[in-house]
Amino acid sequence: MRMKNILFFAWIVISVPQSFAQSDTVELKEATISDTYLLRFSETKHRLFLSDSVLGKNAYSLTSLLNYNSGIYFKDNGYGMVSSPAFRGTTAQHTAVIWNGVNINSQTSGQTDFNTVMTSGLDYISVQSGGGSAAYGSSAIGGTIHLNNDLHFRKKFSNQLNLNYGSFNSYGLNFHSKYSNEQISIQLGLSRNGSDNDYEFVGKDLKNSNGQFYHNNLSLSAGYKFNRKNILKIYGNLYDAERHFSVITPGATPTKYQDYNTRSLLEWNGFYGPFISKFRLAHLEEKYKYFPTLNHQNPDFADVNSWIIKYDLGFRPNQKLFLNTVFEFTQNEGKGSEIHSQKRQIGSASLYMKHAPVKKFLYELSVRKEFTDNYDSPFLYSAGLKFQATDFYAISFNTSKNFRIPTFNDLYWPGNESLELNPETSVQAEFGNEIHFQNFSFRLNLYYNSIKDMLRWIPGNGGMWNPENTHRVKIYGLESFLNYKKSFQRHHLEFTGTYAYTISENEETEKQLMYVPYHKATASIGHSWKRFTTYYQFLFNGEVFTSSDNKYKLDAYTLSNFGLDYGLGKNRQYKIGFQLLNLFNENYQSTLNRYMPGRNFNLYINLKF
Amino acid sequence: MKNWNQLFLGAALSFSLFAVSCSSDDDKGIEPPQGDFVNGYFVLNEGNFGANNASVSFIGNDGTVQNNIFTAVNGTNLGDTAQSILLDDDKAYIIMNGSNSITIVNRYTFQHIGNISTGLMNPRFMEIENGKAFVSNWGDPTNPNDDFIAVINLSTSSVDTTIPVAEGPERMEKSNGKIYVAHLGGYGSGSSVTVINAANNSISANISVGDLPNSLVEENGILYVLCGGKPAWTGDETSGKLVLIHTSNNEVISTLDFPNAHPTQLVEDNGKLYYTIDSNVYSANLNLTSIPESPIFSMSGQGVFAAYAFEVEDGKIYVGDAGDFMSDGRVLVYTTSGVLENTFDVGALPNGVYGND
Repeated sequence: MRMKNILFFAWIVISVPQSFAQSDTVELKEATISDTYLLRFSETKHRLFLSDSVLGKNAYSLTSLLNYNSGIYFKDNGYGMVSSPAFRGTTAQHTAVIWNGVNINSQTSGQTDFNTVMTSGLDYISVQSGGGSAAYGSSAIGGTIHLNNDLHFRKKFSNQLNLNYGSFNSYGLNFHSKYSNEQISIQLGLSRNGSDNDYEFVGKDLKNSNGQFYHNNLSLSAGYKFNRKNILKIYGNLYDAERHFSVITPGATPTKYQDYNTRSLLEWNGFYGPFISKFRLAHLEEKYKYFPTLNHQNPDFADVNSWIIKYDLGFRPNQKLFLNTVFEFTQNEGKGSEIHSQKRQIGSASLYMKHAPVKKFLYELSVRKEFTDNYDSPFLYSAGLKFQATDFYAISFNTSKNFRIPTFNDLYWPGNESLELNPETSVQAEFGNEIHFQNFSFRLNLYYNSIKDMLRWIPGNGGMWNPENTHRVKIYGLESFLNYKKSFQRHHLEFTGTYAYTISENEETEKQLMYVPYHKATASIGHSWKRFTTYYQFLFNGEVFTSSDNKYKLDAYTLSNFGLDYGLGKNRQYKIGFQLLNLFNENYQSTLNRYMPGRNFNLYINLKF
Repeated sequence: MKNWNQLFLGAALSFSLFAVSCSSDDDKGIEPPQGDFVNGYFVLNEGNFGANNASVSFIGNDGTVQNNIFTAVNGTNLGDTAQSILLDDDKAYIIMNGSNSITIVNRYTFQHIGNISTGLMNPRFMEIENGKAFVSNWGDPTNPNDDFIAVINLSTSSVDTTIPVAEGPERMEKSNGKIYVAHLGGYGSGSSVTVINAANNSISANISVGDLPNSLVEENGILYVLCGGKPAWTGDETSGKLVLIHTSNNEVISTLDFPNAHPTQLVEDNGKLYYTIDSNVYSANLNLTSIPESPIFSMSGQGVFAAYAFEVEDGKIYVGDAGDFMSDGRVLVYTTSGVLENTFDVGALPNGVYGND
């Protein structure tokens, strides 16, 4: 079940020109999506949209989805284990995951484990490269990953059921149901995925042991349209998982980890002439238990409850101008085996503007300031422009200041209470080029990012470890995206590819950061003919260093997946298929000495009704 | 995920706070050894917890360094989180904390002989007495009640029996058929020394000392127990102590208080005691009655903030520096007056130096 596959047909590189022409549909879109900033103010940076038909197949975790579809490097502690991203050469705490507009990175660790985010029950996922703190707050430095549910108000009833079974006794059951009419819109998602995960290491006489896991996810979204002006919406997600952590050597003590996360969002949308008003109230709970031995009576734990109140007022006096203010109040309250009950309150005010003075040109400005007692909060901004030079060629430019705030662990770990910690800050700029023809699109982004005051836990006097605002890192590189589609007779062909080149250097030592590859490339090619669909996916990860002095490294590796399915039914709405994953049985690791699976298979059935 | 990193960090922290290895071995009139690894010393590189990258370096008296010798000889990884080595007869016993095992090799060729891989949990240090090996084990470090000394039959390499002891048994010292076990305290804090009769595996005494006894040496019938004291972050900081105990009757001779400091790494060489406080190296006479006021030298000029390994042999001071803990460390060799003689690049997190002549 490696890399639960992604049918890349759905891989849409949404292109530039959507901004201007579609103003008459703005209201419609405003009514369906909750992540308003993504909708209104993200045009001067690159966005990659992975839509529902990709997610609805059998990719179950964000790691496997993004690994094959973006330039993000994933450091996996074994298959299905803790997985942390390096987006544009940054660290795991520099990618923010945004669920329906709410930043859901852990308050204790400041990051998201991408193997704990299920892709089922969502309508689409979007990957936005580059800083986004002015909109999304902490951790939006390398980029942001957006998990979205659309609530439409038109008559529709659809269901999708995906079942799969594969090597290592891996299984998945994912169900997504949607019902809507002019007044009501409801979505339900249910999923259960798991695996014995006892794969044999390629070329070794050893198995992955104590790696079994399961994930349960329940999502529910609903909207009620009172009238043209007022819509009430709720979004909810419940995630419950237990993962045993595979042991690094046969004799090591087996451990396990349990996650229990809930997310709830209540939203009131009002459309009053040129004003769009959104009131949002969100509650997040993140809870984990770590069992240092499998039957431990007093596992380590942390439990953080966050409340977010947000008022968002948009003003669109004409089709050329959009102004937006957002006021937000967040309270995080956490406790854990290492952290005594702590409460943190943060207020923020933001102002956004988009202006398209002429048809081919627009610019955007965003500013945000947070207010809290916990640390000095910098003034955050983003400014960008886009110029549609010709029908097929657009350029964009964006510069921003972003941050990552100290986590609960940084601030409240025993011995840290008296430390004066400040946020890490990042100033960055990027330049984008996009070429777009009917069947072909290509995008090239060049960027530069300077991060200072990086929080690192370092040993001090007497061997005591404390976080300190210390390192500076400079990162620069390029990202490119290619998409090509062709249909002839009854054949449909699609090719997509990404390539990222990344230099991420500790300014003091001039060494590349650990676990940041210089090169990463992905490619997919798919072909459908009559009822048959075949596809091939390719991934190249360049070498990564596993020590800060760049003395040790993991070799580069290439992975290939092959899939074939057959559509039954009048509209080919019932698909049965199989996948061969890691086709060439590559022996690879993305974290030192954490061996990943060799060749394995997966069978699936996808039913739409 | 950071949660997990934190846990690793917690574990790393406990290792970094307490872990050092410098059991001095006494050669027992063995035949002149044959092999690649004679006339020099081993450096045990702990490696990163959970990364399976522990290793051993050998530094010859001629100044040549060979890193990763276990893998070079045997073709496999040593294992996860190496804690300590005991050299005995012609064998080296490498205690693998993360792998819950002991790897046995020939100390001169480093050829793999065997493993002790059952009956250990969080093994720390080893001593051999009466033909049996005694290995301190923390068990589950969050559980103060499952700590034990494993008694190993060396001819079968199996754990014959276990002796339940107080929390966090760490370093041990043997003398006159007895094993003295310092209870550093696992994830909690210990403050005693257990005395075990090696002949019948029974506990003959438990002696109260200061908080967090981290190292101990026995010389001329006196056991010197260095206690680090509780660190500030516990909210209950206590200062270090040096406790002198008569091994004949287990009675405390004197307790010397350190003025607001957390000493660690007590070793003995040529009738002198040595220890460190942060980046400072101190020496003291045996039978001392007061704590020395000033260090013999500081290692801060070399960027060493705390010795991760510390050993003194034949008038040379060997210090392991773990650097940033995310890359290879080094060993610095000083004279006893603090003159830096040599620096060697070794493996990740050097936590022990063991002479092998």
